[in-house]
Amino acid sequence: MKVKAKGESKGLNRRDFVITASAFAGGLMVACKTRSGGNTKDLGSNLQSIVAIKFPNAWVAVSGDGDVVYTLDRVEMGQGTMTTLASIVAEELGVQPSSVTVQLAPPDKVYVNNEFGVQITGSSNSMSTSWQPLRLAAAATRDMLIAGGAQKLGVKAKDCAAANGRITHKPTGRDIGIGEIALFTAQTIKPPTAPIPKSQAQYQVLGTPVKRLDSPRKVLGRADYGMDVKLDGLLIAVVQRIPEHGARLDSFDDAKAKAYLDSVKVKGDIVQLASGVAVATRSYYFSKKAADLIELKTSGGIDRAFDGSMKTLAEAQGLLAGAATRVAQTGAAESVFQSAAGKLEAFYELPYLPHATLEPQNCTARFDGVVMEIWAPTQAPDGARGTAARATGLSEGKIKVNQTLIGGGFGRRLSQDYVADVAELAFKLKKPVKVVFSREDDTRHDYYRPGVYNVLRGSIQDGRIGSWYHRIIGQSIAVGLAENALVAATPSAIVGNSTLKFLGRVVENFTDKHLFVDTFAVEGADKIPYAIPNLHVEYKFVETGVPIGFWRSVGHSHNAFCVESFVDELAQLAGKDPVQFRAGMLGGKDRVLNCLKKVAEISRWSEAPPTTAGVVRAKGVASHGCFNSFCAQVVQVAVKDGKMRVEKVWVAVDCGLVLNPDIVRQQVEGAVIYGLSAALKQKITFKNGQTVQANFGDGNELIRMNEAPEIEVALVNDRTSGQTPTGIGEVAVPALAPALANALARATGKRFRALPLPFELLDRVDLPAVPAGQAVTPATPQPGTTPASPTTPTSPTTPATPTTPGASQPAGDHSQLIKTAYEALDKNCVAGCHDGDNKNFHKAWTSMDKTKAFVKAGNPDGSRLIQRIRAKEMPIDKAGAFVPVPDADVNAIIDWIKAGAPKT
Amino acid sequence: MQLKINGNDETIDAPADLRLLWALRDFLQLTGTKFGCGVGLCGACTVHVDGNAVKSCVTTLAACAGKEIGTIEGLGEDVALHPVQKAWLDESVSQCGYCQPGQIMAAAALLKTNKNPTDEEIDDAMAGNICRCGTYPRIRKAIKSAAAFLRQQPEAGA
Repeated sequence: MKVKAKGESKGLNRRDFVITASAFAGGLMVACKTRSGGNTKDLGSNLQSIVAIKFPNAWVAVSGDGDVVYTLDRVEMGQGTMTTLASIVAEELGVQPSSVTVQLAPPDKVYVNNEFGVQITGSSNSMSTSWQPLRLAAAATRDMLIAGGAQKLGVKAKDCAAANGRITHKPTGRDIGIGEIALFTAQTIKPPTAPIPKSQAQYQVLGTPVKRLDSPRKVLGRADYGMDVKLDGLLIAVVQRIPEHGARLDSFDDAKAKAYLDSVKVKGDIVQLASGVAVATRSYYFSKKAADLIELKTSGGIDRAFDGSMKTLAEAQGLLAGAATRVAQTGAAESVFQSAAGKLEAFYELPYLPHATLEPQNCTARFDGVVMEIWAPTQAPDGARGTAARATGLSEGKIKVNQTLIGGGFGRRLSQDYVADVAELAFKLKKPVKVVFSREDDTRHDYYRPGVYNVLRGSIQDGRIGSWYHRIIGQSIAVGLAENALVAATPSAIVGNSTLKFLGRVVENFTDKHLFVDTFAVEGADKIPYAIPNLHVEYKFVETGVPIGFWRSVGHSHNAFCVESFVDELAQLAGKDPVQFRAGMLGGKDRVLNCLKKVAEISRWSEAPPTTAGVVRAKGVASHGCFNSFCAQVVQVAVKDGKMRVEKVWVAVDCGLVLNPDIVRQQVEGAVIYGLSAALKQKITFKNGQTVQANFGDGNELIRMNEAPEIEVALVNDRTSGQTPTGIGEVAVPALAPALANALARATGKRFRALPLPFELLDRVDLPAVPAGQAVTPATPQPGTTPASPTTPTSPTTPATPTTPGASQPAGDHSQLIKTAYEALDKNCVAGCHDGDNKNFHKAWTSMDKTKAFVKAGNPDGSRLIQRIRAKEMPIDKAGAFVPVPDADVNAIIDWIKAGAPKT
Repeated sequence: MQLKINGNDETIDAPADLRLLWALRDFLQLTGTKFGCGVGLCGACTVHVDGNAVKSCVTTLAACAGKEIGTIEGLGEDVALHPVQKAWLDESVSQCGYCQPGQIMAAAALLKTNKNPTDEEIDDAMAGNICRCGTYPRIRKAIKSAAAFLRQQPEAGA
């Protein structure tokens, strides 16, 4: 494969390498040639002498030396788009995907996402929207090359075929390289009006597990993300950001920051921006230290009493009943519910969530006084250009945007705040500069998945759902974006001009935002797949001013939890098996039903999980369709002493025609882990108008290696149905949380209606050696454990505060032990090293179950923390010298570890 | 400051408290080592110091004096991938890839001292490295396959 990898030399004129990566996989000698002047721009001009066929959303080209070049009009943020789209090109041209050179598209209207009219990567639609135009473009390129080759060979085109970069005359075997005929073909052959792509039966590349084209440079550390952009004289800027959401900066004091920079003899620029005050020096290290010392005076902002609980807000404002916007209605849900014998009312709450991309937000820009060039890790390059224009007053024609690889998107990089920062800063500084968010900035200045509160009422008729009512209470992403876009006076507005046009349609459609239905808020709740005779779904719009945005699977992420948990509650009320209950309400050809059947099969749903003394195991199921794809999941949990392990997750997924089964599996596996982090770890809260969470830790922790379950994926697709490919990046996120909650309901007899679920995780629960064929007994049969009284709706059983269910240790026993140990950690560990969020380091640190490696509960000698202190490796002072820890502090930590490293 | 990085002597004009991560990235343009959290919680910045996996964002230059520093750039070459890198490609681990240099450095350090790690030992060695894309099951497979390869080598170097 040939992927342009940035060289080591500085500046834009560095030479790029073209790496033949097919040799990597075999571990053999690699051809690594230098392409002189071969940066993206120059490569583009090289292509003037080649075949270049332009279709909407597709660039396919063949260079004079036979390179097949594909211009990727979507961003590669881990989802594999680069590889799969290049594979479509390779399939039609008869070349190996690894031989395709991929270059990243600049903002240009030819590259717009034709579902949205703007150039964005999102909504899991790269395959569904690119599939047809791209294979047509590639087929046309092939047909032209065959025609050109046939002319050069003096034979008939119908007797020729394209394979391995050559056009071959089949009867004689004479052939010619596509590079040799590229220019000739471009000059003499007209593009076919109706190129015919290959049929599925002819596929040799698509449908096979082609290795990702971006892997070799990623494992070699040579993949350049936005964070890695290098320019001569580049400064790195960190912004002391206005901490309160929606507040304004009244004044600031940078005396201490200047004194610090003087003390370390580092030159720095301090510049006020719309978002705060930036410090730019030659290294992030100095800029961060100086920015931390800038004192801001701010005013305004969101309601400082709002803590992030939509439940509290909804109850206080009386939003559980009364006017709301109708989203879907069939029959008479209210009256059927009133007269039903078996019925249930429940309230579901989900928190605000961070994206926590591992590459913190960043952006690079250079302004020479006339033209601004930007390097942006963004999911929307044209939005980036518009944002920069709005931040600087420059026209879009004076702004050039280059795309970079992205270290995780998940919707975060559809917002453009980092572009606004760097554009404003570069405009004022007239120096090349990169704005880097600290991890704390990234967490505290995210555009969160909105928190929501939900009212559900359902009743049973003849063993099926007889009535369904769902009220969704929460903020609106669409309204927030539209308003931000409309308030052009705000330079840091998060959307660009192109996006504004898209949103204009949204804006036109609401005259009263309180009556406006935001698809992003109700998707996944509005069109549920089950046949329910009486249904009423409504949406209650809430304003808080908290910045919100798109988060992997968007509204589906919260609505599927409510819908699929509540369906499970109703199945229990009806005394039905959860799979059978769902299947009974789905049509025979339903694609959700196919997934349910498949996941029941691979998870051996009808069999009870294995048993271990003292452990309760149970499985839970959920299904969900979104972005034209479908998914069902079974989660097996093991609960022991009030703690829990997610042991295995089975997933059946239908994303239409599977173009690369291994990338599909990657996305599903990743979505399961992503869903688990949200279900168990993440919760953003607010205090005094600010986000409470900062670095990784409480509320912003993620699943780690020791907590990751085994995952088995089955692909459900019917090749005979002629389906086209649909999205895979998001579809497996929504069903994970409800499948997990449903498993926990069966294991514990308690229904958990709020996320994150209040469980600590176990590293492992050893399975007993069960002789083959030996019968195992069901873990905890749960028929009717949470029935509703026929007349009185049940109230939520979820504890108001997260406590560990089943935990029997009396609170307070360890409080002094914990306090002393935490003080010792804060005192000794923060001064030199772990100073990112110096107010509560122990919280971030001790909240991680991963500390099992560092802190082995009950085993101080086996804990690396104690080992490293004893080895005098930690802690160290600012100069790097070991600082002895007072014995009392060491003993406090040892005593705490001996007691099992308790947190409460 | 004098540092020995990937076998090369490097001179950096910076205060001794500068963190190794920023010396690598901002002074030496060795950007394969990534910034993720800055406080030693995510492992994206994992490098080798005298062969041990260390989080470079909380390691001062002073603490590196006289020690051998290894980064992802020095781990393997195109022509001779490190067995861990090869296993990573074979198992198709990477998604966004941002955490992977740190994951690979942590795994390589583990396998240098333990060529047959248990699941628990893999957990212990790798739990300090976050992967937001959720590649953990494949990382585990890749470590086991690299370990199996190394066990077959007479004197496997790492």
